[in-house]
Amino acid sequence: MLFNTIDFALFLPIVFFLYWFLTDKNLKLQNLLIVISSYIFYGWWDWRFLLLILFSTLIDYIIGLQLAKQEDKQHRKILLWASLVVNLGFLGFFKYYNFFLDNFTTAFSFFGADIKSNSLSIILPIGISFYTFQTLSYTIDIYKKNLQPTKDFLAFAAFVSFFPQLVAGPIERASNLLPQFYKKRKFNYHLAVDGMQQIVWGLFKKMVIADNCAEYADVIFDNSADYSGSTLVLGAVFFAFQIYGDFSGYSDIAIGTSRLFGFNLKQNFAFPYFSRDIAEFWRRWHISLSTWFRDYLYIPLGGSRVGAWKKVRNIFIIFIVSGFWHGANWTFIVWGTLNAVYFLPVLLSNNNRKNLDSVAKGKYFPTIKELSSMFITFALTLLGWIFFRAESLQHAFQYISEIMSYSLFDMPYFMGIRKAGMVSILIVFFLLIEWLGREQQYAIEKMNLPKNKIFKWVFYYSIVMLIFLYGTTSNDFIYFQF
Amino acid sequence: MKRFILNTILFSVVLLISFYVILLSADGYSDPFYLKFTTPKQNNLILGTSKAAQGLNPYVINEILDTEMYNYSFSINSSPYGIKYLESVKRKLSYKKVSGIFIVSVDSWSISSLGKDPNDIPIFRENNSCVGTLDVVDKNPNFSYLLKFMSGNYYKILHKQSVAKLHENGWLDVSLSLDSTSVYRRTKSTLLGYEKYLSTYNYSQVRFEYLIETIKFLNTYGNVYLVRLPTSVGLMKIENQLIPNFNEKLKPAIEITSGYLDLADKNSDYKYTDGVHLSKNSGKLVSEEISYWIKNIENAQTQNSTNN
Repeated sequence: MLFNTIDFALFLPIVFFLYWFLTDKNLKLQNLLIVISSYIFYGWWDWRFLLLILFSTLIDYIIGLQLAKQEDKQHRKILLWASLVVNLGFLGFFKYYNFFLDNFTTAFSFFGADIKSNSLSIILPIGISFYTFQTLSYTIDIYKKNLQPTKDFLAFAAFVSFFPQLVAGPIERASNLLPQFYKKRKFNYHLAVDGMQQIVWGLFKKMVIADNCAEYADVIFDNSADYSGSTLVLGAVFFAFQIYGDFSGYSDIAIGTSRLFGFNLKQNFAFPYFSRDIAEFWRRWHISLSTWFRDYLYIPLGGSRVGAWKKVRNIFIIFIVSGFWHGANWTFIVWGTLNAVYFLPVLLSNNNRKNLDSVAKGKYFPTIKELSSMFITFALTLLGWIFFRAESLQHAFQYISEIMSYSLFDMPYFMGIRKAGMVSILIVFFLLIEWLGREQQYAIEKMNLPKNKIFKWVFYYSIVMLIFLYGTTSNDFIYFQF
Repeated sequence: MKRFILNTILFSVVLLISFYVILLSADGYSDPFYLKFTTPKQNNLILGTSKAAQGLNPYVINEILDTEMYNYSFSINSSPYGIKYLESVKRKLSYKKVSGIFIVSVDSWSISSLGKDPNDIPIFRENNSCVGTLDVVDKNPNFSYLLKFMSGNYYKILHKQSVAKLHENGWLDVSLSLDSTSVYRRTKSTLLGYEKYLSTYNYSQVRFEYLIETIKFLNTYGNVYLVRLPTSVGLMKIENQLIPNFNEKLKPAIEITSGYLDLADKNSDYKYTDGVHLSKNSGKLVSEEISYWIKNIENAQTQNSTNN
């Protein structure tokens, strides 16, 4: 089920009423309702893959309990590996089988061996990368003795399958989300209103910004050979806003929906396009994944408390793995590598923790220096997005080489350029709101509107009307495929 | 909780009323097809794809033939000949008259399909279009259409300006700049698209049979005139590659109509906005030519029946 559909618009109030009116007296019943609703939510897309979630849930629940009982290091390691093999095995099979097969075949053919490969037509279960990482963190935390395993199977099943964030995150840690299933939730008016506001803002980002930008990004990327360098730059800009609006919009809807049920999820995006360097960008973009890699891969590898060469190695490893997490294509690997290359100078010069606060904190306008830093960081990410969006490496290089040509100075032109002007106005409006709200959890959390309630209502009314007038309802979320 | 629910309901009601009011004001500027599904059932129809939707002007035809034509043509994707278009035509017809006039425009695309099997009806491209899915084609306002097919474009309802205006009689009035640079640019891009289509489109026997079926059905309610509209020389080349012996192939259909007019010989006499669609003025000229041609046939028929 997609958040931006009529199906979800009906599903959400039904679950909300059952949750607060029918099952609110009994915590177990409330958790059971969450599990059932989450399975319906996921099964709406393809019920067969529910078995995968159920299997992962069972395996990690049992392994968690066994890890708590087991003191022997060797046995504990075996249990951890069992969880890793099962979870990453599913992920590897569904997501990477054909990629590895194709590349091995190509590599062996290059050396003259005649290999006939049997590629399979595998459907990628949506959200598999997200819930796999979430359950893995549970087992790893127990293994490291940072977390006590739960004996409450229902709470654990609800933690794994919690529908607001099941298919595209935020990837929650058991230490944050699981305890919330143990406690009785009380309806909180302010939390619920806050949730609704965040849902509305998420829908605006997805349906107005992302989907409209997608229209042009798709046209330009799919026919890039026909366009001038200047048009291709516009295509990359549209894609940058598409992917940001799409993914951060999903996170906002997920966090907002959770609040309606009395849950708090962690912030996943913190206005990344206002970053002054690439390290700041990665502290603000897809935070739940970045911190996952930091805690479970980068730090175990030694992090930055090692020699320079190992630092370089560690940075390349996490960025390449992060790229590969996004998809089984060389374009994602190059995207990850490129970001590692961006990151290295910042890290090696010890400037990676320079910009921890919001840009121009407490001020309306940034300084020229801040503005140019933001512009350069955005331009660097833009180059990365070209690899992320391109069909193949060849396509990406052709795209970039056209940008580097004299046609960069031509007037941009593509079919539908008039509507694109209107979309650009919407992007400017969006950026303005994001800028004003950049020190909050999400842009419209606390709008500095006059105290009068009418102003607030008019503002939210205007946002919903913009969604109605300019939003589209048919597009999937990009991150479902990861 | 009570406060939250009340506020949510109040907010939703205000929003729903606003949505309703906006949707009610949809008109010919809002969408190129919407009014075709809000106007009453009709006695005389023009059928075809976007070439006919833009090129055949009912105002001109009505004046010459002294009738009330309705342009029920859509686009290459929505109204190629097939079961879905035929069903939609049946819904739009009033069934009040047996002396109606039906102008059926045909070209290579309207009897071709995408994909390896051009006769596989379940995968026909119009199946999920407005023509293929709307059961009600004469209701004003038509919320089924607005909700299913206009999503993402509601801003157009408020803008009240567009290069394309759909008139109440179904004519799609397109006002594009006709300076040579704009036309060249549009033509290049459109023909490039059609060249790409060439590799994916194939002649469909099933579609052709449905063209015959459509003509037979309309014959019961009046005279059917088959026309092949003029198009740019560039597109004609592509169309001839798609179906090389077009007129030869069309023969079984021609035989059951009151006449066939192939204007392809006059391709270079007219102007096109994008290499496919006639400009407004050329559309008027073509509509005139077709109307006089029909008038002559109808007069001859009347003469014959009087003589007999």
